[in-house]
Amino acid sequence: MAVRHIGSYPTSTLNALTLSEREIHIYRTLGQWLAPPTDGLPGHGGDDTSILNLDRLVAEVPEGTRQLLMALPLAFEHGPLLLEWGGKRMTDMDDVELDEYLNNWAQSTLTPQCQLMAALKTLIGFAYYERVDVLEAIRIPGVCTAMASVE
Amino acid sequence: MDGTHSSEWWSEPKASFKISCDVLIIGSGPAGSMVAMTLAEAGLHVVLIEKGRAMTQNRMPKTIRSAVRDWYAESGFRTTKGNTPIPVAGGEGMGGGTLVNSALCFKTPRTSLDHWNELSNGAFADTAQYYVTQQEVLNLMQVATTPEWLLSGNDKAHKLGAQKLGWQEGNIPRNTPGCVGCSRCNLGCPSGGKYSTDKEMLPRAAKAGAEIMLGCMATEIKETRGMVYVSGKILDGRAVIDDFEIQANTLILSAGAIATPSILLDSRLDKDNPDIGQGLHLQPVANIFGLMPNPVESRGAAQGHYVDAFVEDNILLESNPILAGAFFQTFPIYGADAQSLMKSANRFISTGSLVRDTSEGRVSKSSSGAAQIHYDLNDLDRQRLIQGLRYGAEIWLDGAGAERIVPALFGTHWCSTLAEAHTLLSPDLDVGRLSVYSSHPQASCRIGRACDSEGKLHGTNNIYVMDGSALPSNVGRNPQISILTVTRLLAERLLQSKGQSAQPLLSTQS
Repeated sequence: MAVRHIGSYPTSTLNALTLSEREIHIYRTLGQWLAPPTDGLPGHGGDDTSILNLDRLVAEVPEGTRQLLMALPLAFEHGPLLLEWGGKRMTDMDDVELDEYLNNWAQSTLTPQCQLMAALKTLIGFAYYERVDVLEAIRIPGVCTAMASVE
Repeated sequence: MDGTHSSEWWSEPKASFKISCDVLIIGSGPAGSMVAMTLAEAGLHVVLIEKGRAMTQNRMPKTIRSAVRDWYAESGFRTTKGNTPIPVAGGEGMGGGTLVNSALCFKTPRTSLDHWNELSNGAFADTAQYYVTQQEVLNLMQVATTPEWLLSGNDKAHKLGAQKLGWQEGNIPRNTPGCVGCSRCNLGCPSGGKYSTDKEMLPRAAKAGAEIMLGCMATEIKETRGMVYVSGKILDGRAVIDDFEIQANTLILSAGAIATPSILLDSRLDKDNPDIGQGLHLQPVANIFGLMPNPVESRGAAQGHYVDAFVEDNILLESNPILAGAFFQTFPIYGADAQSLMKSANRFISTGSLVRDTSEGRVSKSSSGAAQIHYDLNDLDRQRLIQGLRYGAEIWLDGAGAERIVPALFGTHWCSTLAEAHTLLSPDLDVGRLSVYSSHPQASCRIGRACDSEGKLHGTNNIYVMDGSALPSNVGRNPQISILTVTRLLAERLLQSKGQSAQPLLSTQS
C-alpha cells in the first residue's frame, strides 16, 4: 500500500550512504510497484535490502553519473505535474492513482518516457532481481551455484 | 579494505611515491599486459599502473550487482550521449577487459585488416606477419572452440535455431582452458578457468622485472625536454588516498578506447592533435530476448554459439549470458505480472546482433570523473541493427521454437510470430527506440589519424597509444585477439626503433 505524505518525507532507519530520505521514499514506492511482494519470491523491489543495494550501487559511480541517477527518481516523483495528474507528487498518490500513473509511464510510446522507465527498471533489476535469494527463487541455478561457491 | 595489498608480483601502493622508469604503461587490460610483457622481456625497465585492483579470492564478487559495481568502469553506468543512449561496458581491475569479458576469441577478418591498411597507409601491410603473430597470440591465450558439453541451454537453442534455418554457424572460440561452465565469466571467473591476462602475461612481465602497481589512476600527462611525467591519484577502492608521480622516457597508453583519449584530452594533448578521441566505433549490439516452452539449462559457457551467415551485411549473432536484471529491464512487464514471469527465468533465452558500425563518435574531456562519449547511430547502422533484431526474432521463433520474444526497444512488446516481430521492427523504426549496448569501443586514437604506424601520438615525442584506441577502424568481431595482435606488433616496432628485439611470444610454459 502506498503511504501518503504531505510536505517532508518520512525518516528512514536505513544506513544509506548516498540516497536521501526523499530518494529512499521514492525508490521504495517505485520498487514496490515494479516488483511487489509475491508468493514464492523473497522480499520485494522496495524493501530494505533492495533499497540498500540501490544505495550502494549509486554510491560507487562517478559524481557526474550520480547526478544523473539522482535526477531519475525526481522525474517520476514530479512527473504528475508535467503529465497533468492533479499536481500531486507521486508519493502522495493513493494506490489507485499510483497504479494508473505508473501504468501510464509503462505503456507510453514517447521515447523519453520509455527511456526513463528502462533506466528505472535497470536500477530496480539490479537491486532486486540480482539478489542471491531472488536468483535462487527464480531458478537460474548456474549463476546461483557459482555465486554460492564463492560466498 | 581487506588487507590484501600485494603479492609476489604486483602491489597496491597505499602512500605517496615518486619513481622513474624506461617505459610507463597505463592500463593492464589485454593491450597493457601484452606490451608490458613484450618490453620487459626485452630488458626495458617497465612500470605498469592500473586504476583498478586485483580480483583476489577474498574480493571475488558475491553478487552480480557487486561484480558490475566493483569491476566495471563507472560501476557499469558509462553511457553515451547521442540519438539513443548506449551503455558502454569496460573492465576495471587487473586484467582490464579480460577480467570480465566472455572470453570470445575471434580472429581478425581479412576484410577488416585490408580496410585498416587502406585507412592507415599500410600500417599492417605485412599481412602474413600479422597472421603469424595472431596465431601465436591464439596459442598463448589457450584458445579453443567451445566443446559441445560446455554449451548452455541458451547456446543449444541458438544452435538448433540456426541449423534449422540453414544458417552458417559455429561454436565460439574462447580462452577458457579450465572452464567449468558456471556461465558467469563476464562477472569475474570464479573457477580460475578463464585465461585472462593476469594468468600468464602479467606474471611473465613481472618476472622479467616489470613493476605492476594497482589502484593508481593517472590524471595528468606532461611531456617536457624529452621526458614524460605522469601524475595521478592512489586509490583504495574508489576513494583517493594519496598522490603519485612517475617520470618515464616513454609513455604508453593502454587504458582502452574510452579512458586513453580521456586522459590525453584531460591533459590538453589535443592542442596539436585534433584527432585524439575522434572516430570512435562502438560495435553496438541489439538483443532479442525470448521465452522457451520448457526450462533451458543455464550451466555452460556464458556465450558459446555464433551465427556468421550475415557478416557481409556486417551483422554477427552471438548467444548471450542470461542475466535476470537484463530481462526485467527489457520485458514489458510490471508489478505482479513481472514477478510471475520472472519465476520462469529458467525458460529465458537471449541473443545479440553485433553490428560492425559505420557511425563514428568521439570521446571528449571527462566531467566529474565520468567519461564523455558522444555517438549518434547513423541511418545505415540503424537499419543494420533493425535487421539484426529481425534475424534474432527468426532464430528464436522459427528456428528454436520459442513461445514468444521481445526485441530490446524502448517501448517494446511481446511477439509470438515472425509477422508480429516484423511489424514491430519496421524499417522506419525511430533510432531513439533502439535499446542497444556496447562492450567493444575501438578506434578513438587511430593509427593513420591520431597516431603514426608505430602508435606514436602525433605532436609528441615519446607518447604512444597501444590499445583498442589505436586500431585504424573496427574489427567487426569481439576484438580481444585483434587488440592483442596489434599491440604485440606495435611493441615489437617500438623495440626495433630502439635497436632491440622481442623475445618469443610463446614461452616454454605456453
